[in-house]
Amino acid sequence: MNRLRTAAALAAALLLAACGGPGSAESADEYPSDQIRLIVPYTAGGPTDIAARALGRYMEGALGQTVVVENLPGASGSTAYQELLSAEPDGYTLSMSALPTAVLNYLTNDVGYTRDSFAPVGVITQVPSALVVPASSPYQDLEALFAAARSDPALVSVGTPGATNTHAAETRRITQLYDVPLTVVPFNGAQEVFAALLGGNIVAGFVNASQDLMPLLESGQLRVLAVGTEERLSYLDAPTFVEHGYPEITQSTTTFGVVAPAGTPQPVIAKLEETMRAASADPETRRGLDERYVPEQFLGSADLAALFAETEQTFQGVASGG
Amino acid sequence: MEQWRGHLHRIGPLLVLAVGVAALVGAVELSLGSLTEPGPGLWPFVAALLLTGTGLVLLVVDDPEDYEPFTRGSARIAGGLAGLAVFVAAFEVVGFVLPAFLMLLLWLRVFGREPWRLALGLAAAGSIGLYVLFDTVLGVRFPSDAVAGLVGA
Amino acid sequence: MGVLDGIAQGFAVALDPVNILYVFIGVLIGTVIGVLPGLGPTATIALLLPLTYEIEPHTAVILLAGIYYGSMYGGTITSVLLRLPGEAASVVTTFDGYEMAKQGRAGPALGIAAIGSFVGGVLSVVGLALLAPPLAALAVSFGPPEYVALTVLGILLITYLGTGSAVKSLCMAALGLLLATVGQDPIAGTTRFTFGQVALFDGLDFVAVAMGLFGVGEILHSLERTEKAQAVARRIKGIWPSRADMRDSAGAIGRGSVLGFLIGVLPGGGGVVSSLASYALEKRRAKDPSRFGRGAIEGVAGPETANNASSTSAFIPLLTLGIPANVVLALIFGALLIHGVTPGPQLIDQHPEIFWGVIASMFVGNLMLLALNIPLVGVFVQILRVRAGILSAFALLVTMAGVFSINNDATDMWVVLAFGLLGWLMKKTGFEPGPLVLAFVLGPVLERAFRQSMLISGGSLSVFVTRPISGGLLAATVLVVVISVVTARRRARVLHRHDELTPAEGER
Repeated sequence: MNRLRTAAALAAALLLAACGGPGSAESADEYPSDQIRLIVPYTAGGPTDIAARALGRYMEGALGQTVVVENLPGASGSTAYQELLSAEPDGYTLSMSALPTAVLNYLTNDVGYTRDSFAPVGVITQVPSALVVPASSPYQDLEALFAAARSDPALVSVGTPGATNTHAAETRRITQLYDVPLTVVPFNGAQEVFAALLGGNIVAGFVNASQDLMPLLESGQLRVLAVGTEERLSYLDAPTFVEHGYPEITQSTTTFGVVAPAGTPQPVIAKLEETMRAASADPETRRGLDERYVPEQFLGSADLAALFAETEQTFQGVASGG
Repeated sequence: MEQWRGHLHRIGPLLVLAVGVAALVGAVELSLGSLTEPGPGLWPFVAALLLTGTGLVLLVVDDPEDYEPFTRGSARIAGGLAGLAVFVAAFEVVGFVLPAFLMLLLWLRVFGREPWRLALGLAAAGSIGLYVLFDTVLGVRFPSDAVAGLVGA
Repeated sequence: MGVLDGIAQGFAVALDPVNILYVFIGVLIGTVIGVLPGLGPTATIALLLPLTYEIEPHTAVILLAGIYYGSMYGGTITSVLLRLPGEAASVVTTFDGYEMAKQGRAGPALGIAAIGSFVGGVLSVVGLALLAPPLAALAVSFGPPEYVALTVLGILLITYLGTGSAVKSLCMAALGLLLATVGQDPIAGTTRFTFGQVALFDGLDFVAVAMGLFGVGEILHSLERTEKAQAVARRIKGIWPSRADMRDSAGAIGRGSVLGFLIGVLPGGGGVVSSLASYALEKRRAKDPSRFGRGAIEGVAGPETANNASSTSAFIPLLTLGIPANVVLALIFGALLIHGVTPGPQLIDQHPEIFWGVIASMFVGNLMLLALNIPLVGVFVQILRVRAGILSAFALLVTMAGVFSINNDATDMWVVLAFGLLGWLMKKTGFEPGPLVLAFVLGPVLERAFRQSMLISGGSLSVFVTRPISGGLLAATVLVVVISVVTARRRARVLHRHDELTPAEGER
């Protein structure tokens, strides 16, 4: 009866909070002595949520405390981050985070946080992106598509799952850095991009190579022209942008990680990092996360921090849409 | 006084007009773009234009028979709304049970004119019952509840 | 595998006792969820998703599908009894359904909704079984220009729906369009009219707006009236639709099924447009259109049928192409993936038991929905016997809690409050909330589709007429407008002549 345990823990937490709660004076050995809140900035059932629940299950076993997954969708994650930052930086409130979206949010609008508001813990999965065309498309490879774009600037429409998200920003970077005139056509989610591709209503699409894309690739309805990683993927036979001579286009991979509010004590972060490292090596958790997307080498707190900085720098000039 | 009352209904279209004009200004500020290359402000502009237009028409041709008079009963509305506002504000701070109990009590006793005992009973059963339904059965995460905490439920 | 073989296999799966149990549970849970305002099937399915790991894939889909269309019917119940639409598709039902309830005819309203939903669902399932692949191909060919044409037609229909003055309906539609622009621009991402509030970045939540305008507005309005008036209005006149009701609704149900089935196949089409189209069609065909909005049973039968038919045909893109049409279907898609089943063109061949099993269980599910709800109509109608004060108080509280549960955000509760006030004001001043809410839903689709079309075509407006489907739809729209104007003129001329020939009463 998880619910009763949850409610009981909640009551205990309330009482503890009333007494002053576990403060930063607690040592890493004692942490965690209470249940942990893991906020998910997206709706239940989506990839971030599934990853959070898989991770949460492992953490419960490893740390011996309940991990409560809480969905707070809205404003591309900003709602969840605001909730995270309003909590005590004591390691009992954490949030999933998706890069580059988290960074793009504050580059485009004032959302009440920036990179410095977070204390990154570690990376759990990375989902690369791919440029796809429908099976009936006349373009057999990336060069053919780009050549067509250069000869007719208004021709090549690239569907993206959002207006200011990773894929839109990255497509604009291609245009900016390499003079390939691509028109970004934002849709509301990857499903709409797929539908538009299948109907021949857009020329190409730039989407996550996630679980919902793979069936369409396997059935041959869509073809991949290029992937946005530095090296070829083991599970997707397609060239990279880098191979084609576009070395800068490697920023479209979505990184799912865990963050804590800035000011969370270092020993607590270190302990969480260790737990995440172990989780990503645990076979059952890996299955829950879909093994393809778990990075070969675990990326910890310092790596994630560096990634935040790199993302910010990359998208500084592009983020303002249009 | 009669003349006043006769024209009171024009407040409706006037409000519509005010909102429409404010929106027109806001839309222009958002940059209109052109028809073939719309900016963020174009669509709100079109909508606001339509709103302002209809507001102007209504200001002139509106039929007073559509309107119901404002009576003393209207003051109860203010009370009802105030009660709900207090509920939402309190809900964010102390959770569901207490504000729900008070709100139910207010509506049952004051607006529903139910006898005290029934009102109290229903309010208590309702607030606790609904809390159990939403929080425990459906798993909705209400803000930390003061009452649930006290009882250690 | 031939269609008949498939159907046989499908029924073998669907009539398995375990699966029947799951259909029953699903439909039951769905109905309860639908009744609770604000709490949609999305939250439930997400909650139950982990459970579905344990069971067979086709059973999992059967369960989830049952919840999905069970909740559609649940939304109808609150629309009719309390004027609280559970989701976009139920809004149209409030127009005549609630009026019927006020006239003591809540039973017939709920009854005909159940019957219509059953017929619409079954016909839609048959259509799905026979026409799935070709329809799916047609559906994906609908691109942004087609959506523009479709929503222009839709918005035109909206203004035709109101019972009051057309100008007022248009005014409310304009307000709905404007309110829908609050939030981030769909193409450029610029924030519009958010006044710096992050909570408004995604715009105003439809459920909160609809609950506020319809439900809370109605409750506030009832505060003003005396108790005597309330008691009289809720006297109950019979629990089941009469033979006359059935006869009147038959045509509406038939037309609604076809309309709903076709519109539901379009990704993004769905309940709103189909219920809207059905209502407009019925109002147009009626000999006395002024009955609509005052308790015309066709105004409930048609939209409810269309609604259920469309939620069934929405499965077509999912099962044949692997493209879920809405959030709920996306979750079902995820459930299938977890079980290692990839929906798409190969589903029929690789996993026929899932494809045909789901189809057969939809039939069983619709039957179960009807069987479950027939006796319950009597029970639901008794809810109206509860004193209005008590009912209102609890309805308000449940609405608040339900709306909160959508995003776990108290901002939505404030939205309900604000729109409750607006809804009350609108009732006092004779403005109708229907056009506002429907424009609120369709407006963003139109804007997004138009701007996408401009981006894709490179700024050429001719794209709307050169593409066959959108050109055809626009031509149909123009035709509808022309016909309406002509018939309106003809009617006015007839009336005028009638006035001239028949002397006024006082002059005899």
